[in-house]
Amino acid sequence: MFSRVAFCYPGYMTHTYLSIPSDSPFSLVVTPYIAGGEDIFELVARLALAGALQVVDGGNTFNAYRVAILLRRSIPDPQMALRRIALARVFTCYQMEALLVDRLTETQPVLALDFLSTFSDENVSLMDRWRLLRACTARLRQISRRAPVALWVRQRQNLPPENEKFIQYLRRAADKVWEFEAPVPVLLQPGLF
Amino acid sequence: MRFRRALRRSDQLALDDLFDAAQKHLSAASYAAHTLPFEVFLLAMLLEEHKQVIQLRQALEDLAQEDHGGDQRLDA
Amino acid sequence: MVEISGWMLDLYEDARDGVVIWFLDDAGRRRRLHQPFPVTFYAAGDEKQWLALEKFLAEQPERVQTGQAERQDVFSNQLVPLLSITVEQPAALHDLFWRVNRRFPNLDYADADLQLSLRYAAQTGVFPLARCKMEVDSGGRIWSVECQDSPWRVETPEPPLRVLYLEPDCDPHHAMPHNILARMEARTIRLALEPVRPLLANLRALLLDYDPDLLLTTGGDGWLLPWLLEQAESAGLQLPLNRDYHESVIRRKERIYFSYGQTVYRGPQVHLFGRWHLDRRNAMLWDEYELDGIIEVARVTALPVQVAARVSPGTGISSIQMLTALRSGVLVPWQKQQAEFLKPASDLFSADQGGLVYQPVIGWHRNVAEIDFVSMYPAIMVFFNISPETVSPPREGVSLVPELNLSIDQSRMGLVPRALAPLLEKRVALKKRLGQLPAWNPARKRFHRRATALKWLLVTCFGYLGYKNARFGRIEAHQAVTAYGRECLLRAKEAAETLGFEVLQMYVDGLWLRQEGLSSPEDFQPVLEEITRRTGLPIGLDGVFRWVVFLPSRQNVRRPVANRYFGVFQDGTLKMRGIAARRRDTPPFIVDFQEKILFLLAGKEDPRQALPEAVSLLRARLADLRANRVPLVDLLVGQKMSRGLEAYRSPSAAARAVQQLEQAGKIMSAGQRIKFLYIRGEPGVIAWDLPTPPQPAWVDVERYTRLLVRAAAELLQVFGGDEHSLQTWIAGSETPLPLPGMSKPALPARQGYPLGSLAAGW
Repeated sequence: MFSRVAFCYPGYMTHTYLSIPSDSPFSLVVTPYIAGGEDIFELVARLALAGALQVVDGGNTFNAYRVAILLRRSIPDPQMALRRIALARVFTCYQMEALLVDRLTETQPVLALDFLSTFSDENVSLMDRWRLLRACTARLRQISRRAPVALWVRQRQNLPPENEKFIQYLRRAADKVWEFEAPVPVLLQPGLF
Repeated sequence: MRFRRALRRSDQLALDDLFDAAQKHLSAASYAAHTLPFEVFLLAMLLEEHKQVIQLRQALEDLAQEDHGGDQRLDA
Repeated sequence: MVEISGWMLDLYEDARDGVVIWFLDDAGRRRRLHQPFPVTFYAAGDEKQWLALEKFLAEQPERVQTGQAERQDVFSNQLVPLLSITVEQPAALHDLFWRVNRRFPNLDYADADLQLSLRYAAQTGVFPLARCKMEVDSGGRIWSVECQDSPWRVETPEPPLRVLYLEPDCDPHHAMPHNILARMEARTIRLALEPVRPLLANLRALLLDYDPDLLLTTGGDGWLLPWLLEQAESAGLQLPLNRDYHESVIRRKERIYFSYGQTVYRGPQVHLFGRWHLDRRNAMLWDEYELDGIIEVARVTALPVQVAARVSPGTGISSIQMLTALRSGVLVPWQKQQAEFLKPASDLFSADQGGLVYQPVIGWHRNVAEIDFVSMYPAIMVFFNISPETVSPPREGVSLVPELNLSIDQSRMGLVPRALAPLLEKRVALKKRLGQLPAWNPARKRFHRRATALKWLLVTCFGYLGYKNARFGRIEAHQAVTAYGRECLLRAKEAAETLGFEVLQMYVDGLWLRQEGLSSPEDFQPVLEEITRRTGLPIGLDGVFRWVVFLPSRQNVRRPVANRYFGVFQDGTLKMRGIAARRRDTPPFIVDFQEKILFLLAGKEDPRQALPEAVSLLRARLADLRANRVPLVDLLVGQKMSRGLEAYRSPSAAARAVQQLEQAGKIMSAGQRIKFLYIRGEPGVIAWDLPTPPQPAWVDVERYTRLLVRAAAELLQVFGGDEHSLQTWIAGSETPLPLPGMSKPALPARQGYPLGSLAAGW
């Protein structure tokens, strides 16, 4: 029943709505670090309107207030839709693996936010990080046979080279990849407060 | 905030006043844990405004009583 | 075989001798003892791999025994089948485990990376500085151990420690010192740094003669000991910093890390064997609790003194929890893998709130009681049994946490409450003992420092519960604690209001109350009792303020901010929060000035009467400033660098000072504190530790004047001395000062608002 759910992704540069066809259910969305959040919340809101959804947050990025406001544009009471989002945050890549393997069900769509964040922790050996990344990917592929899976990866600057390799690995594993390049450099206006 | 920006300077200051007054109840607002916090914030502004009304009403009544008392003394 | 009794000073692993113990016996001898001490770690998970692991272990050079075991997993509360791996020499464990983990990364490990002192304490009961009895043979081997002490004892005998204090005569970051001052008991010796050979020979003689247990230094980690070791090496001389000749000194490199969103800089460390090295500069919270506090931390955490002095309270708490686990046969997981429970996003709004904060009623108030919950968060964890394994998604028939969709299992006592309860009790006992001692008693200081050390451990245990790498942590447990905290504070507020009090401020675990006609401590007893009745938690009267001033935000005088106040208690004690004198970047000159002003205010029945004196003091200080009579060190601003220099977009004053230091070849890292002066002209600042010292004439008098006036206004504005009036008064001495009692306070003490009547109107 979930194969009918299409992932819609409004590109922040093109403003065209991208949808992920149900025959390629393992998608990867790569955005620059500073961008993407708003669009991802939009995606979360859309999916929550359509049905139950599992969100795994790797970078403590989920903003429930933001999602509530976005939901309010479509329905008067966002509470009900918010209850359909099952959310868990993870702070280490060990937790990421434990969560994906032990806790997620295979019958509901999965959205992983800032998926690689915990994998850039230098306190964990590179070998362990690779091992856990492979285990996580295998598990996500398995889920994607029954329900759509999307990973959101943020490209950080000044990160060790292995991070680019992690992204490469995910690119190869995914059925569909959406890449969003950094907008033409504009002078960043510093925040007023 | 676009609304504030489009206001006249004097109105902007009045708006800021409203926000400052509501700040007092930030903690109660966050305790309420409402899905849309701005709604609670509006309530906090209303609360502070109403406190002002009560205070002014009281001051006015005191003044009226003073006047009244003064009159009485004059009469006597 | 002889039996000896005394103190256990230190212990560490030795490649051949198992565990080495330094013992101070009752005859005053310091003895190096040793004992075989095999250590065990466990592997869990896929049992098919165990055979391969056993085969792998048999091929390793270490002597290892394996077996099947069952131990309790704290999270599942079940016995888990395990492969136990016992290593004969504790010193070999680290390398062996590293190889095992590399070869078998898919197994789960437990008890793999524990401090040896924790294992020893769990097995024998003996912790650092414990009184104990040992049976020892002539070769120094221990055959039996009997602990005659408990870390929870309130009265502890003090071991007769020999302390050698070494201090360079100036800060080596500022200029090369000329002498080292060596102090022991009443004696002080001055040792010239140059020439080096006699210095080293003298120091060597001192170490051998006096044979200190503790080398206490100023900057020994960062400069002194590394420098001495290098000099000794190039001169080809032996410098017996270690008492144990079998070992060489350990030097740890400096490091920078992120912790709780802050950049933390930890300097290099020098650890000794057979005696302790403590660096006052590098010891956590040294200014707060000194050696007494460090020893207290070592005793209750079972961490060796040199480690206890340098680790954060979080590590201390973690050690106490691990020790509790080891003692009760619970596994200490090597990697924490407990992720959050999946829960509806709608639960998030309540879950992530912190403590409850009620903005104060701005202004000046008399007869205000400050009441605080005693160690609120730890008390909540113990009282409500909050622990990572007792918290679960809502379950039928199990009590719910207020506001949150979480259940807490009350059928078994959690590991965290078990670990905390004795700590909490001990702190209360220490404070009680402190209250019984008269003010002149020198033991007061010791009790106070020990209580402070425990306070820091307790304060940290709450944050640690939510820390991602905590072995016994869980975010939901952390959230449950704050939820109960908010609930208790609200119940306290309701209790106070029912009894007719006005609540002026609430801050996480404290309330500020006032009621017309009430002023003596006894007047507040009933409200304390009522609060404890409604919450179950102990609450105490911190004191009754003769008067207290709640300040508005610095940016906006109409906006109240929490926890920015000053006042004087009935016994004359001053209390201040959030004002310049409390901030660590404020120059000492201004700190001292604000404290003096507060003193003046506190000295008068009506603080407004102190205004003329305060203004004269301000004038005098300004005159000092203009005549360059203020020593430059007292004008130093000290700011912490939060990030690397390159990360600053428009360089702040601190960043400019760092630039100057880097140009002079001094490398500063994020997290370090930078000291600088404001000077006239460009670039406006000068770093303190530059080779060319700044001249008094360079000082930016204007800027310091502004800072001084602002500091005065911070305290005086409520009594009529705002920045503008102060400027006027100091400008013309002719202008008459406002007479006490005549000036209208700029921020009048506001009357409490009848909120009850408001609620009734709804």
